[in-house]
Amino acid sequence: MMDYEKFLQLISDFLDDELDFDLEREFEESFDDEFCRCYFNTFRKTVELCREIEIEEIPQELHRKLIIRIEKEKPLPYLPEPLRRKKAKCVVRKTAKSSRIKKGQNR
Amino acid sequence: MKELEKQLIEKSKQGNTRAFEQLIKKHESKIYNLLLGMSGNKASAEDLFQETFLRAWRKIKTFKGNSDFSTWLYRIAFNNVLMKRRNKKKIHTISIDAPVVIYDKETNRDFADDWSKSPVATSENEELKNRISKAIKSLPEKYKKVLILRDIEGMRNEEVKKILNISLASVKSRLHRARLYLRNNLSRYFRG
Repeated sequence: MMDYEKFLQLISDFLDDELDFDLEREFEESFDDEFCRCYFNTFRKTVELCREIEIEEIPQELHRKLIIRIEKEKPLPYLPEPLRRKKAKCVVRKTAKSSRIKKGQNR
Repeated sequence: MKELEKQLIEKSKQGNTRAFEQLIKKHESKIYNLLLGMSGNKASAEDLFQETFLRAWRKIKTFKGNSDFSTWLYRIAFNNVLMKRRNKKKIHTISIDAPVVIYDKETNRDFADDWSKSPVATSENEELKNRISKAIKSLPEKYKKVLILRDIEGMRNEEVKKILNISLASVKSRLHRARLYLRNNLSRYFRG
């Protein structure tokens, strides 16, 4: 039987059916041990409870508000990658230039 | 990506709000619930929800289709959560980065404590539901993201890997730690 440390390390993989056949068999042998069996049952139940969390409905008002806001806005114009980089460089240059001017003014 | 979704994306890129509304309808429920899980309260989730889709609308022309549209939306949503967190004070979360203690006094008490068959271990139990929500809320962000996507939204590891841009091994180990933490938290609840 595998030790507890290894058992706890593999418990998620076993639950998700991602263990190799040999390891899976070894893991299942651990169920003879009461601690492992209890731990596994409660671990599996925890995951089941998470999976049963109900999906909440979106408030209709929220959907309506969002659509109104979207209708007021136009999406950004698409710039191809080289143009976007060029634009970004221009901004950097402008910033550097303006900071040089500011420094000059400070002197 | 399905043909209809591709068409809707193309129309949205041309400024068609009706097409974008169809895309919203398709994905809003999952995004809203993700944000609800991440933020832990409705008011924040609603703000983040609007910001996510508004950002997606503004940026729709930059969507190249290299990933699924839903993956792109999830990334925007997570990014918004991150930005909001940066602007807020640090929220107290527990640390589960330390090695998991395998066998101590607490585990010893766990020994014969199989609460999995308890009649109150059900999703109908409101008190238990609240306990689970609180436990999820207290998880560090990186574990919470994986747990929500994987065990609550029911995604596959591969999808989670793409959305969070982390390795498969990281997805698995974060999920495992989050589950261990939740399980231990629920055990304390059942011990009373």
